[in-house]
This record gives sequence, structure tokens and C-alpha cells, in this order.
Amino acid sequence: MATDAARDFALLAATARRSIDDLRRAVHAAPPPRGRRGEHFLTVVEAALGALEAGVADREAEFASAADEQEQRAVIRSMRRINYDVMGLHEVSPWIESARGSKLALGLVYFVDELVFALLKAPADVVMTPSGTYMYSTIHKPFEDPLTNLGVAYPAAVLPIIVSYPVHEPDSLFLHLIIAHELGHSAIAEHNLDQEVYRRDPNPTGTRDTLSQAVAEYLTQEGGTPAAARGRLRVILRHWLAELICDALAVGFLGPSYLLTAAAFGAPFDGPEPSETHPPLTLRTHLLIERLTSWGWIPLLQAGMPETFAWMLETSTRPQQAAHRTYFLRLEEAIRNLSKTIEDVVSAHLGADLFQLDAHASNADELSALLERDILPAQLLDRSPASRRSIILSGWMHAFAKHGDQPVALASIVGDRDQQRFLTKALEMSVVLERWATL
Amino acid sequence: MLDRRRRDELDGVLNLGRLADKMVFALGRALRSEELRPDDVLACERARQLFELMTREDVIVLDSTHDRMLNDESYLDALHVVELRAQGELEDVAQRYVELLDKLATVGVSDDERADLAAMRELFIELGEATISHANDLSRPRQEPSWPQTRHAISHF
Repeated sequence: MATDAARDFALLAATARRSIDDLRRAVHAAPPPRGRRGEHFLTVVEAALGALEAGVADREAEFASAADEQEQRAVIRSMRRINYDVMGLHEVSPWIESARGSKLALGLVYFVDELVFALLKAPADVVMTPSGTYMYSTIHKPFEDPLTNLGVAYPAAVLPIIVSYPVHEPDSLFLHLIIAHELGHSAIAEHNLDQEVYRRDPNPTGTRDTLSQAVAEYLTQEGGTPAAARGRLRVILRHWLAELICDALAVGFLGPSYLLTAAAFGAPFDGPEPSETHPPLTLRTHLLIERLTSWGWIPLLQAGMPETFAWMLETSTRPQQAAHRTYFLRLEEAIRNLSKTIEDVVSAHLGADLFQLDAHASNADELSALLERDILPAQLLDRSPASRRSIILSGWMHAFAKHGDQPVALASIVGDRDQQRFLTKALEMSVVLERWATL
Repeated sequence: MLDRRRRDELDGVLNLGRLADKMVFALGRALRSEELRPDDVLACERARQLFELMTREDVIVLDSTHDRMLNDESYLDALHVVELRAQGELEDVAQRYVELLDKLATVGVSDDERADLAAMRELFIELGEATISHANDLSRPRQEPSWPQTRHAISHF
């Protein structure tokens, strides 16, 4: 007769197999044609299902040869972890649908491809999926950990990335620029940009002293052991640095458009208060303006939207409100000391993809004139395709002229979906023209 | 859908749990004086790095060998279990385990050290259980709707 442990284990294995079979049926229901968007993602899902199935068989062999009760219990836990992986795979069902066909405008899809190539320095299989959560997020190389743990090499030559966007914002081009920030997280993972910032720190002794002070303050304010305080601050600093590198990548590629998007999307929720996952929006705004200053964009902002930019400047100088948690102030000190290093690392990473004022200024008047006449700003007078980033930036400038130069206009600009659909169509036609020219 | 951070944290916790399970087997074999398998050696090296991190005094860890599968959050899970067992001697216990795993990988451990090896195995059993519990928490949606009319209508198993 089977022991309790054996019965427990048998149920776990059978449940995992049932779920794997269900998911496999969903993937096989309507396979996409070869070469289509989502193909690489579905290859990874198939591989993950196969690996998990093999993992179940391996655990069964381990359970049969377990030397003692503790080993049996370890295999049962291991089997439960496989069930968590399978549960994680259940989340992909809406992604599978999105992989078969996106409801987003083609211009946006093309622009996200462009973002991916600039930020990741490689093409990716981007699957864009709506989410009920009012937030943008990306999942880079889905199921990498379970596959690695099960001894399977990542199967896709082109890496899949899942991009989620708020379900009711399919036409909000200006908000979709947040995707550049989100893709930054993938760039950090692929290129170790956070480690690069630490490595290039010109004053590591100063940074270490500041962080030692943060540890001392954390212990006073939160209690616990020094090792735990260091560990917790390591987590917070890693989160903060990642967010700021992502901001720098986004503003480096998009220029002032990203500052405006960050204000429209972030200001309603965030202010000068820190959290363990994000630096205060005020600090983020300050560092974005520092980047734009270095890259020569400030005169354009001061000329195009002086009132709104003055509000952003004022926002960026508000002190962090950390209350009794003064260790957050030390983290800000450490981050400010690393600010120029972040800029250098991001500049080097973007290379020729860094958006510079000169590249925009030469076509800005022409694009502005087209927008004023409601002519699609996709093609310049010399018949060349307009740069997608300049189309978007000119769109922002035009929107402020139309809705008024006040911070409150950010809400009506984002709400002007007709204008954003128009710009998105221009992005599409600019790409079509560019590809047509290469045929 | 889990947000990226929660998913990363869940991945880290599951990875730490898998390491703990592997260490139960590896240390079991070592205690029975059986030859370690290649997988056991890899698991012992990852565990050694984890204990070594607990002895480091810097917040920023710049080390190319740092195990990215075990993220900083899973390190905190491991640290918590070691703290509970170490009773205030955390750094000493972590250093002792680093030395023990070094020996296990090179010259082997003496009979006198088997009690420590058994205690380390107990620690990994506890860690395996703790990570299952944490994974259970993380795999559930974090936020209830703030709108009161829907809050009472939603429950989770």
C-alpha cells in the first residue's frame, strides 16, 4: 500500500501533467504561420511545457530512489515548485491570443520594434497584450528560470518579450512611450548595465561611506541585524538604480517626449515620497532634466512649453519626503553621486541611437507645418521618411499649442485620441516609406 | 497577471527553494559518505556563494560570479532562516558553512564536522519549507480592488 508521501506525490505529479496537457492543447489550437510575430514566443512555451513534463518524470525517478524521509519530502517540495511553474504558464493564455494577432495600430507595433532594436541592440519577438492592471510592464525571456533549472537551453534564437499595456489605452500613443522605460529593464538584464554603473563609479569610497551611513540609519530606524539591513538596502538600491537607468535609456532614445510622458503617466500617482521599489518621482524628474540638459534639449522645452517646463523644474527641486526613514535620503545621495555615471553608461549603450537636438531641429519646422495643416507628418519635402522620434516630439509640441501650455493640459493631450491615432498612422506610413525605398 | 517585480521575486524564491532541495540530497549523500554527483557539486558551490554573501560588509556587491538566479530578495529569505538558527551569530555561522562547503568540495569533511554538515542539511530543509510558503504568498494577486463595492465580492482560496 502506498505511503502518505507516495500518495501526495502521485497527486502532485498527476495535477502537473493534467495542466501541461491543457496548456499544450491551447497552444496547438491555432498555431501561427512560420515567420509571423509571436512564433518565437510560442516556441518557448512549447519548450517550457516539454521541460516541465521531463521535470515531472525526473522527480518521479528521484522519489523512487529517495534514501530517507527527508529526501522524499524534498522531492515533494520540488514537485510543488513545478506546479508553481505550471501555474505561471497558465498566465500565458491571453499572451497566446495576443501572439496570434494584435489589436494595436501597426504604427505603434513598428515603433516598438524600433525601440527594441535601439535599447536591446538585437531584434526581439514582441508580443503586446492588454492588461486589466493600469500599468505598463514587460516580461523579458519568459520562462527562462524554469527552463534553466530544468537543464534546457533557452530555445528561441530571437528573444520573446511580452509587453503589457492598460487595456483601455490602445490608442494612447503618448502613454505608450512608457514601453521604452519598460524595455530598459530587459536591456539591463541583457547587458548588465547596473553592474556597469557600479563598476564605473568614479568615487566608490564615497559611495561605500554613504551606504554605510544608510545601513546605520536603517538599523536605528527599523531594527534587525546589520546583514539584514545591508540585504534590504541592496534590494532597494538595485530597484532604484534600475528605474533610473530605464528612465535614462528612455529619455536618451526619445528625448523630451519621454519627460512629458513620464509627467503625464507618473504625476497623478507619485510625488516626493520614496518607496522600496521606486525613487520619488521628484528625484526621477530631476535626473531626467539633468539628462536632457546634457543632451542639449532644454532650449526646445523652454521655447515650446515654457509654463509646463517651469512646473516640471519646480517639481524636480522638491525635497524627498522620507519622514523618519532617513536612509532613503542616503540612497538619494548615493544615486546623485552616480548620476553622471548613469548618463555615461546609457550614452555608450545607445551609441548612434541617442536622440540629439540637431537630428530633430532640422525637420522640426517642416513637421510642425504639416501638423498645423492636418497633413500626415510621415514624409518630408525631400521625399525622405520623417524620423519616428521627431514625429512624436512634434506631435507633443503641436498638442501643447492646441491644448494650452499648462500642466493640466497633459490630461487633455493624452485624452485626445484622434490626434494620437493620426500620429500613429504617420509612424506607420514613415516605416512603409522607408521600407519601400529599400526595395 | 503578476507584475514584473512580483514575478522576479517569485522566480527568485522558487530558485532558492530548488537549491535548498538539491542541497538536502547533496548533503545527504555527503553524510552517507557517498560520492557527490556533478549536480551536487554545483549546488554546493551556489550555496557557498550564498553564505559568503552573508559575510560581506558592503551594500554594493560587484562580483561577476554572483549568482543572478538567486536575486537579492531570495537572499533575504535565506538570511532570515540562517538568522533564526544562528541565534545572533549569523556572520560566524555563515563563515563556518563557507569553510565547510569549501572542504567538502576539496579535501572532504572530517568525522568531527559531520554534526555541522547535518545541521546545515536541517537548515536547507527549513529553507525549502519556508520558500514554499513564501511562493504561495507571492503567487496570489497582491492588491485587492480599492473600490469597496468590488472588494467584498472577491475572495481567494
